[in-house]
Amino acid sequence: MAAKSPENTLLDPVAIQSAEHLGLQARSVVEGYMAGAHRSPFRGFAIEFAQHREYVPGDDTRHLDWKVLGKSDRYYIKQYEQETNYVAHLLLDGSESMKYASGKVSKLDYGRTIAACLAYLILLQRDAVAVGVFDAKMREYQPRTDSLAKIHQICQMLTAFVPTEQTAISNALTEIARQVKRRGIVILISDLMDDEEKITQGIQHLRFGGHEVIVFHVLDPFELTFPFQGSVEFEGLEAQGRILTRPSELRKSYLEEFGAFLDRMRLACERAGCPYVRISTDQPWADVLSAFLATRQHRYG
Amino acid sequence: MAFLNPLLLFGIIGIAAPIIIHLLAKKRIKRTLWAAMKFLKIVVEKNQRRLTLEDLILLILRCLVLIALALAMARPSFKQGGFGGFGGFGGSNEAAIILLDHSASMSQSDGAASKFDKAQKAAEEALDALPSGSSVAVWLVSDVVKNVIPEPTRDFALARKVIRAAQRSDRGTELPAALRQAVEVMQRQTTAVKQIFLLTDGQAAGWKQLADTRLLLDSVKKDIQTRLVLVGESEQHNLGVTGLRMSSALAPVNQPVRFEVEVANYGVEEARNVQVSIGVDAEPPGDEAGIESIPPGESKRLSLFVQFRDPGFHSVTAHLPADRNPADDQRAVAVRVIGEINVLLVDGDPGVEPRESEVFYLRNALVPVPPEQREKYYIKTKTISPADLQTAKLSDYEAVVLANVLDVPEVVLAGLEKYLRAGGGLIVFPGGRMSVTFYNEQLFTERGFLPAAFGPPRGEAEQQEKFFHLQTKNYEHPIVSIWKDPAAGTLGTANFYRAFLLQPAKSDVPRPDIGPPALILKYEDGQPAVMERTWGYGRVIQFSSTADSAWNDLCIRPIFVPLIHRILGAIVTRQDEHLNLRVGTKLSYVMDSEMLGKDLTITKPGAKKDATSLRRVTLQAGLPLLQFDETDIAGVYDARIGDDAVPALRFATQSDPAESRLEELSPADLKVFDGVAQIIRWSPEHSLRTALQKERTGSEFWLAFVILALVLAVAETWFGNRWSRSK
Repeated sequence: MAAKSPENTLLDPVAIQSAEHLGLQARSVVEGYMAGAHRSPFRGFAIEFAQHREYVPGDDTRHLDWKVLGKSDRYYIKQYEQETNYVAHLLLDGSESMKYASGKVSKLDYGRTIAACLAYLILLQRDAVAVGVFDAKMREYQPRTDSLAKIHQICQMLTAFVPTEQTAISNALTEIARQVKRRGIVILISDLMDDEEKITQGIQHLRFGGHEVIVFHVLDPFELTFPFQGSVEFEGLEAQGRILTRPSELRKSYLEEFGAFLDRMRLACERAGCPYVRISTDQPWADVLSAFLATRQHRYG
Repeated sequence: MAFLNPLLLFGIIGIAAPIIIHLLAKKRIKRTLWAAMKFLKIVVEKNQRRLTLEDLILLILRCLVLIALALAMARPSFKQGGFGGFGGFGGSNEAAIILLDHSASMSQSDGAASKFDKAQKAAEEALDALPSGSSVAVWLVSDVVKNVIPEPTRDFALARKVIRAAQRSDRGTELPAALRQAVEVMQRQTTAVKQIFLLTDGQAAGWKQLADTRLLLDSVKKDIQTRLVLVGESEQHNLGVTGLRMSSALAPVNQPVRFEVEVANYGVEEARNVQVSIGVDAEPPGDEAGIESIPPGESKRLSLFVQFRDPGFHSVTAHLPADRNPADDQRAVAVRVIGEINVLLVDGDPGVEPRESEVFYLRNALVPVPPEQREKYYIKTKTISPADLQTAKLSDYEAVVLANVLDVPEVVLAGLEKYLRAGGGLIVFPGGRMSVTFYNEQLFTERGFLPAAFGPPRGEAEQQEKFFHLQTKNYEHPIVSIWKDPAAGTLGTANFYRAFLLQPAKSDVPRPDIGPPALILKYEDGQPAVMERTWGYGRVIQFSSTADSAWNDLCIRPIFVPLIHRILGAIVTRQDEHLNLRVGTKLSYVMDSEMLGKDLTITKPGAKKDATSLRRVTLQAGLPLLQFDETDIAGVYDARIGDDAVPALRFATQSDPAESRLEELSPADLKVFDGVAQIIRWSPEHSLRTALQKERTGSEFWLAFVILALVLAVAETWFGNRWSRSK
């Protein structure tokens, strides 16, 4: 079997099927959730022209600037400020630590689903969404779009991503802050297994840029309960070596240490005015969406 | 400190078990990828040293549990004075001699087991107490040493077999001599530790030289450890048959024969109404009598009678009621019952009238029955002249009497020598016709037949107003001992007018086949009247006066008949003396010449028919002799040709009466051994092995190690549980 290049991955029927599945799953989750909902969590704004940009396949042809096409024979899309209610930047941590799975679903898988669901939800509300997958740097990025039709591309991108590097969340956040001038919502889906101070700095950087930051802290149930028995050799997913120990004898200390980490992250987010949502991969996705929307409603009433 | 089961120390290698388990457990380690390594690392870094320490402590505890268990099973012991080493580890440097007393006194029983049984058990325990790799010799000791395993051997199986197969004997006890021999053997050993175990009943009679024994043991105490193991309890009551002998002169068929039985009371209390019985061969007792009282420490004699139905060899056994020392409850003697006794009378002065014959009175005294009964009488006489002596076949006669015979030719002298050597009897009466020179030179000096030389005569036969008498008391010789009893009459009534002075030969005769001269009777002035000596297997009786009435009137006195009969009896029983032996002495009996070269099957007392010994009658110094030296057991021995119903020979052995004296060494006697020998009182409840091992190795403290192992195990469990809790 040939090695999977990004192109191959995109064309990989399994990947495509997975992406479709992810899209269907997101759609199912969101529609299931939205059934009975009466108002969007986002508020609408007036539409004002902002700039042109080159047409890329998949762009809605309704936004082609026919005048420019007529004059220069070039395809440009008219972009508007506040053409949507809001722009949401979904940043999914694609580092190796996200590969951990005590069960069938890894943190990355779970994060993919969350990202897809949120993207679908946001697009469904006719808001714009940009999706990026990062580790030490931004690995994959789907630029801002408000077309629901792009959800497929988003899902494909999410599905095709294979983590290979260690995490550097602050780099990703800094890069987003630098690229995105317009204020928006930055939704960070990560296990936050990185330097806590740098994560905090990255969040604050975004906050200084006027972004609203929502942190989805994805954790595996085993990370939260550390239920191992006997002698276990732990091998770090991000080249952190190996540790042979009897985890049952260290559970209490570990949970204290890990709990302190969670508390620190929560406090750091709260201090930065960021909603912090801790999610475990054994939680239903709907609960996560519910938590997300709860944070929105709490903020905007 | 030493270990009694040092091989179990190999159990210490069991400490490898926790380590191996630990290593094996590593193979069962689960492996998992992990994201939150940062936090795990922090926790591990905080706790790893403690965890490692806890692991190390638990591992040490587990190893210590195993070590403690291994040490406990190896039975450590501590002896004050230092490290005793690993007992039996790679061979010991010890040698020992086990002296097992098998004398007659060891037969004393407590109702369940004899002292000898107990000594055997104690000997096995002593054997077991020796470290493996030691060497041991086993000797059976009594009044002689029977060194079954003479030199120490490492073959313990052989030693054990010898101890178990050992048989008690009826021998006497003489332990100092055995100890001396054992010390000599031990001194030759090159081992570091030398031990002598003497297992005995501590019978005082067996220790006649206590002071010498102490000196001996004291001189070697630095080199040799001596342990006196006393078995059994002292017995307060013991009656024993200490003597049994025929007091009749002869044992003819169908005539009452008197036996004298001596019973001794070795107890501490007076014995009353002691029933004594006597029987012939294996038949029921033929006579029985009671002794009203025997004070403690004293003995009493009584006479009992038996009758023999057939001539030949018989045994007579005296019995007492059974007590706890069965060895002396009976005593047996062998008797050769006479069918006919032939006496050859050589008349040196036959005279004209029969009454003038030198042997007239003698012949009548020997056959004191009316003429019509002489054919049936058991004594037959034949009178010949000295000239006929050359042609007479002496071996047909039990006794030959030379009465006033001038001299005898050389050829007759040679025949007499052969005759005496084979057990014949010679009675010499002097007289006026005899050649004193010939008798003194040939029969006294040259041949040594006579116990005394004829000296000058005293008194005159014609002057009958001058006479002298025989002694009237102090009849010590067995032939005349019956006259100790005044009721039996006295020999002092006979008048002697003339007699030769008898000049006894020196006692220290260099020839072993010639016995010392013995005085049978003396005159009242102390001069010897009748003397005797043994010569070869025969006996010679020498009178100082005539056989007829020429020089005395003894021959016409009634006492002449029993005196002559007893003298004849002494001659006849001279051979029979060899039928009764002290236990342990060698039988050497002259058999009939037709038995030469035949094999006799000898059955020991109480032995099964298949446990017999075979001996051949061989020619020794011209005589057909049967010799047998396996006479350790008291009782009756039968020698048969094949399966003959009638034994060709029956002889008996008797134990030393001193063995019936069961007094033990007193505390004062035992004090003699202080500092030179260890006294151990053995009992079945107190194992000699344990005592000796404890002495060798000190006190065992395996229990402490068991407790330590338990404590360590509990600690390991507690710490294991505590430390395995989540932290």
